[in-house]
This record gives sequence, C-alpha cells and structure tokens, in this order.
Amino acid sequence: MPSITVQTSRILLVEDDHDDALVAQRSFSKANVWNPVDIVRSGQEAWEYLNHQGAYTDREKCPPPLFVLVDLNLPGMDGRELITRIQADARLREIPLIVISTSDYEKDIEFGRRQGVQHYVIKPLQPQNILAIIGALPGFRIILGNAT
Amino acid sequence: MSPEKTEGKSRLIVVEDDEALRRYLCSLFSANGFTVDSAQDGHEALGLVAEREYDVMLLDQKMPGLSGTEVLARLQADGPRFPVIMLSGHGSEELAVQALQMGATDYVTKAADAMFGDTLVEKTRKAMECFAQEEEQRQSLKTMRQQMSELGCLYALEKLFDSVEGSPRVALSAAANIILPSASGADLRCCAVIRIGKEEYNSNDLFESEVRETFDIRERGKIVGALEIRFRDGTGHPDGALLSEMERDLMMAVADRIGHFMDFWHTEQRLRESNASLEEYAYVASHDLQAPLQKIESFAQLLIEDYASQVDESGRYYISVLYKSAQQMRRLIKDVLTLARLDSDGLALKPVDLKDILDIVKDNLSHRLVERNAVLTMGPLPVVHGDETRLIQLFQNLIGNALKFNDKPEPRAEVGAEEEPDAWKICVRDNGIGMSREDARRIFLPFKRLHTSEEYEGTGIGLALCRKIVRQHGGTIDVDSEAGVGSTFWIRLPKEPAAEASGDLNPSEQLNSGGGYA
Repeated sequence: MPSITVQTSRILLVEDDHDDALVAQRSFSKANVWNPVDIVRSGQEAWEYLNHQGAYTDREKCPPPLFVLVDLNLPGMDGRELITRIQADARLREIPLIVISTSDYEKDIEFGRRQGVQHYVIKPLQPQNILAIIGALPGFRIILGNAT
Repeated sequence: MSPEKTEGKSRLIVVEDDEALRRYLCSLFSANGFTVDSAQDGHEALGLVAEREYDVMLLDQKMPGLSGTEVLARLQADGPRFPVIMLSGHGSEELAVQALQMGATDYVTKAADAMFGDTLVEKTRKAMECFAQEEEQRQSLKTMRQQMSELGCLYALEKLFDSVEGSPRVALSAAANIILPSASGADLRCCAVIRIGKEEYNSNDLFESEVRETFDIRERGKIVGALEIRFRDGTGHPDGALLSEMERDLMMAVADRIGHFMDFWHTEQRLRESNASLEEYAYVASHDLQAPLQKIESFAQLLIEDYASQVDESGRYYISVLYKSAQQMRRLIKDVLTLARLDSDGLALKPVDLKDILDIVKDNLSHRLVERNAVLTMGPLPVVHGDETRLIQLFQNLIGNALKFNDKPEPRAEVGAEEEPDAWKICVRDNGIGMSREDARRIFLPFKRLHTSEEYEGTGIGLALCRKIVRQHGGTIDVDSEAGVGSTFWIRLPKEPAAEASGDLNPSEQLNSGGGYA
C-alpha cells in the first residue's frame, strides 16, 4: 500500500459532561473519523488551549484544531462567552465552531446564527452530524478509517 | 365690588387740584348716594388708592406735580382695578383720545354742560357699568387662558409619560420643564423640581431658594416624593401668595399625575422582571429537565445499537420502552413550555401574507407530506395582521394534525379563505378520521386527547396552543367535523389589528381539560 501522509489535525471538544463526551467520542469512531479529539471541561480551559496558555503551552501537542465543538452550558466561562471571545479574535476566528447543546431554545439557536457558527447540533451528537460537519470544512484533511 | 364698600354704596375718589371744583364734585356725588373721598394732587390720590378699594375715579388731567395722565399710567401698570373718568379743563380731542387709549373709561370736558349735574352722575354710572362688563370679560379671558395652559400642561405630560421607554429619568426632567411655564406665568420667577426618593429632576434653570411651595407625590397613597416650585426671593403674586389658587390646583393635579406615572412604571417594571424570571425559569426548565431525559434516550439508543445482539427479544422491548418514554416526556416538556411562553412573550402584529406563511409550513412539513403520500393545496390567501412565528406554529399544527389523524391512502389538506366584512375566515379542511360533535367541543382544551398514545402519539397540547395563538390575534377558532369523513377547522382573524387581545384561557375552560386531538 502506498503510504499517504495526511495532516493529523486535532479536534477540540469543549464539554463538561462526561457522558455527553462519551457519546460524542463514540460518534466520531462510528463515523470513522480518527482524528484525535481533545476534550476540555470548561470555557476557560478551551481558551487556554487555543491560546497556548496554562497547561497547553506546547504548540506541538496542541496546534490550532480542525474545528471546535462547544457545549453552550459550561461551568465558569460558558460556551456563549467562549464563542464570543473566539469570534472577536482575528486569528482564532478562522477556526470553524460547532455548537452542541441540549437546548433547542430559539434564543440559543439565534445566538449561534448571529455568531456565525458552522453548525448548531442538538444533542446527542450523531455520526451523521460529524460527517456533515466534516463535509462543510474547507479542504480535505481527514483521515478515514476502514469502512466496515 | 369692593369688600370695603359701605352699605352697598359705591366709593368714588375725586382727584382735582381746584378746590372749588373738588368741593362741588364731592357734594354732587354724596348727594347722589356715593361715598366720596378726594385728593388734591396725584401723589395723594395714589396713596389713597393703595389703601382703599375704589369703584370709580374722577381724575383731573392737568395738575401740578403728578399730572392726571401720569396717575392714570401708574394705575394701569398694575392692571385696571376701577374705571377712571378723565376731566379736562379745555376740550381737546387729542387729549381725549390719548386718555382713552391709556385705559380711561371716559373723558369729560369741564367747560361743557356735561360737566354739571345729573349728566355727570349718569356718565359716571355708565362708566362703572361699562368697566364692570369689561372686567368680567377680562376675567373670563384670563380664566380661559389659565385653563388652556392647564390643559396644555396636563396634555403634554400625558403625551410624555405615554412615550416613556426604559428609565423614567429623562421623562421626569422633561416633565419639570413642561410644568414650569404653568407655574411661573410669562416671567421665569421660579423653577420646578421633582423629587422621587433621593433623586431630583429639575427644570433647566435650577436655583436654590427657601421660598417654595411643595406638593406631595403619592404612589398608591404613599408619599414617595414631592413636586417643588421654588421662587426667587421677593417674587410671587401681588396678593403675596406664591401661586394662585388655579396654579396650586394645577400643580396638585400634576403631582397626582406624576404619582400615577411612577406607579405605572413600577408596575410595568415588576411585570418585566417577572416575565424575565419566567423566561429564565422556562430556559432552565427546558435545559435542565430535558438534559437527563435526553441522556436516557440516547443511551437507550446506544444500548440497542451496540448491544442489541446480547439481549433477547423482551430485553430489547424493555429498552425500547425506556427510549420511547423518555422521548415522549421530552416532547411534553417542550410543548408545555411553548404554551407557557405564549403568555410571557409579546406579540409583534404586522401585516403578514398568509401565502408566505403557508409556503414555509409546507416546506417544514415537506418530509412528512412525502412520507404520508399527502397533498396540501392552497386557495388564494389574504394578508392578515399577525405574528409571523405564531402563525407558522398555528398552521403547522393544524396541517400536521390533518396528516396525522388520517387513515386515507392519500391524505389531503386544503387551506382556503373567505372574506367577511370585518374578518378573514380561513379554513383548513382534511379528509381525515374526523370526530363526533361532543369531541369537537373538547379538543381545544389543553391535554385533551381523543386517542391513546398508542393509536396516535402526541402531547394533547397542539390545539390548545392553536386556540391561544388565534385568541392572541383577537380571533376565534372552531371546528366542523364528521367522524370518518374529515374535519374543517375555521379561524376567524379580524381585519383590524387586535387591541391587546388576551391569550388566557378562562379558568372554567381549563378545569374541563382532558386528552387531545393534537
């Protein structure tokens, strides 16, 4: 087999709920998306990850992620504040944002629309959601596992 | 006219430097029933006038020192209080005209026959009558002006308070400036200050002064502040009062109005806050109640997807019950919240083309239309006054029902409109399962279901929601139905925008609630 070198971009999941993170990870593997998924538990932690601060100073280990999945309701700095801060940052604004939330409340959906997030996914995150997110990304940078 | 008038006699003052003439006039008028005072020059006359109320004055034009013309000018400066008849030694039309222009009521030449006897007394009486009439007119004009200014002031306040959005701060400062002219007349002898608690709102020309009149501002009977009219020292009305009786009445009305405004504003604020907390509550409920259910639902699904082969048939059934129940409860929470939020969210009524609404509904339902092999047809539809989101909700529910409660191989739903003088009558007709007359009366009640959830799933809220929406638009909804043949839902929407229609169900209707068509 010819070896293919593909950029192994990481994916950032901002989710405080362990079970929801588990469901998301399962969906990634069901969708055959094998990019490493880094999970952070709060908006603050995500902000540090994206800005190479705190525990995330190693730029090699955490390069800019392929996209960021953000839960809206998080402890401390919540998903709304995180998204607002990312969109206000000229450099981080380039990273596609996807909201994953239990809330189908119009205000939250409208918030997502105003902030220009790529997708608004109502939980649980399903394999087909991940394929839709990947499909909407600019350029092909995905490692696909063996379809079985 | 005067409180000092003795025994109904009119009091006359003769101002004449010629002693003989003065005596003659005094005796003439005394003989004719007048109380008579006399002065021999202008200064003496002004002194007497300042002390006493007079009913009429005979005033010599040409006197040493202060002339009659000058005396007249000074009397007129404070506003005319009694008629003045000018006496002149030599008839000159020019002088006569000048005197009349300055406010004298009449003019008499000493040389003429008119000067003597009954003629003069007659003239004097006429002058008094004439003055009394003029005075009456002046008073009614003054009253009218005052009333106009009063009305103007209250009207302007009304307009101002009606237009307030957000904090009343700006409105109260503006109010102080509206009040000011009514309290101060033309000259800005005062400033207006509205005090509410510790806050002060004032007219533009604020100054400090202890000379003031204060009016309590009451909110529901409780004093919450005051309206203060502060006066520059040494000002006020000629009679020494700061405000006239009318001005005082007006200021009391104004203070009253400000109290009402504060009450209204506070009530509205409380309402806004309670709406906001209801909104907050609804949000927390929708999120925190739904999150665990969603977890039950998705993990039940994961169990089926990943471990179905490891449990037997009845195990799989148990899991599916878990899944369906969680799903049903989640839908129920969502519907109840939607129904509750219809009350708290305001309606934004504007012209809406029903054709556009139905196009959106058709698009939203396209998947189900295809799935059910259903046909949705639309006749010509009007533009109505409504809230876009709510109307979409309304028709989506009705048409959704038409498809759901339908056992025909090709379900049909038809939307049409009829014009009535004051309203649009919109119908949604289907060829579904229909219902009996008794059932038709009950279906708009919340949680009223006609079928078990095994037969037709749903929460029983859909049609209650529809009725609420229609009522919020000032309209009515009803149904004609025949079991096995189909149903026609009628919605009557008024052509004129509905004024503050209430979406509340009346309590007796709520008591009857049971299962649902929706």
